[in-house]
Amino acid sequence: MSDLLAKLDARTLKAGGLIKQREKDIFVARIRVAAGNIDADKMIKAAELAKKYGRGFCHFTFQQSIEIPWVKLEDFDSFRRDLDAAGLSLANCGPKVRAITACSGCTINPYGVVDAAGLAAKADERFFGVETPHKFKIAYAGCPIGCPNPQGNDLGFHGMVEPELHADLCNGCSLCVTLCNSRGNGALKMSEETQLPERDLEKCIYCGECIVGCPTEAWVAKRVGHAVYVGGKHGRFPRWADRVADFVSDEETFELIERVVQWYREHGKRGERIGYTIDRLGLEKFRREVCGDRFTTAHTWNARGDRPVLESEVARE
Amino acid sequence: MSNEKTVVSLLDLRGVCCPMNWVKTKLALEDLESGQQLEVIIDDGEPIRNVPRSVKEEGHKLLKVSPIGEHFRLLIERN
Repeated sequence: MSDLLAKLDARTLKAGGLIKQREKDIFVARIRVAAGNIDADKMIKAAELAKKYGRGFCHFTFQQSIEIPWVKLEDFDSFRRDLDAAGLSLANCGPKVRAITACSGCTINPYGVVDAAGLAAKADERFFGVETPHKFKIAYAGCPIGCPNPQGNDLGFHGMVEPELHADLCNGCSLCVTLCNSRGNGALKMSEETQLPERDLEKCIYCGECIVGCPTEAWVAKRVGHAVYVGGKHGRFPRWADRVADFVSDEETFELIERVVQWYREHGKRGERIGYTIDRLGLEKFRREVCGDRFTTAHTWNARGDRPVLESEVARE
Repeated sequence: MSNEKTVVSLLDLRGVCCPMNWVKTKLALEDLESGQQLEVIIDDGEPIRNVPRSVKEEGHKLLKVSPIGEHFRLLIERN
């Protein structure tokens, strides 16, 4: 087998994406998928490769990529050629920026406020494979529901929207108040005087339930952007991410990826996820050096970053 | 019943899941004349998010949402 190994394209092995199975000389081939979207023809090709080289099935990874288990070491060269011909490429493993994940976002999902999948695909083109001290996972979610788990990624984004009421269009049905109470943070109430909904700015979490729900389109988006979380991970020792900025623009998410990765490359120890780098050096240092005055949060958020800390609560303490 | 626009139908959809609650609402609305009103009672959770959105998508008017216990009464005017 050492002959075979020697003959293999060094790039293939170094780039990763081939993971050894329990069985000798048998590997899982991990195919790169950005933003959880794959062209249907490529998906068919991947299925054909699974039949030809594997055992006729594919596995969907937690990171939205497609794996073909049971690929033999001796077939690598031919597998690699077929993969190239199909327009597919291997994903990676090891200490690098991984395939960037996303939900469908605003182009498909009614609750989405940003184009999560489109942005994740662009970010993947720019940052996939950049070397980092340990693995680095990035996720884009279209709204605060956060299906791709932005708080569980090394760097996560979710869309957020500031609502504004056009009172002349409101028919006073109060659905927004109901939705805000059950799905939002209870930031709306009907004014007895005007019979219109009123928004408590301190409580609003910018989820946009009122906008999506409003039957007369009286609630509209005043401002749209991304919330930014850093330092999340799952694994043996899960860590919940820190919320570090709000209402960041589409373009600024790319700038932040660059800044965060740069900071991590400068400060992270080999084998240390960025969350632990932050724990070791302090979140304040991270905020100062990466966010500065430009990237700030819309509220002082609680430790989980999901509800604003109210002034009344601060006063009580 | 002095006004044509008074509620002509009431549908109790407590315990009816999405999307069947909407299908039933839609069928009931089809039996009405334009401008007539329908009252439906739906559950909290997914129903209160989904049914009003479907009402809006089909161009009907949602006039009022009133909480009753853990349920909601919607007043809908047919388009």
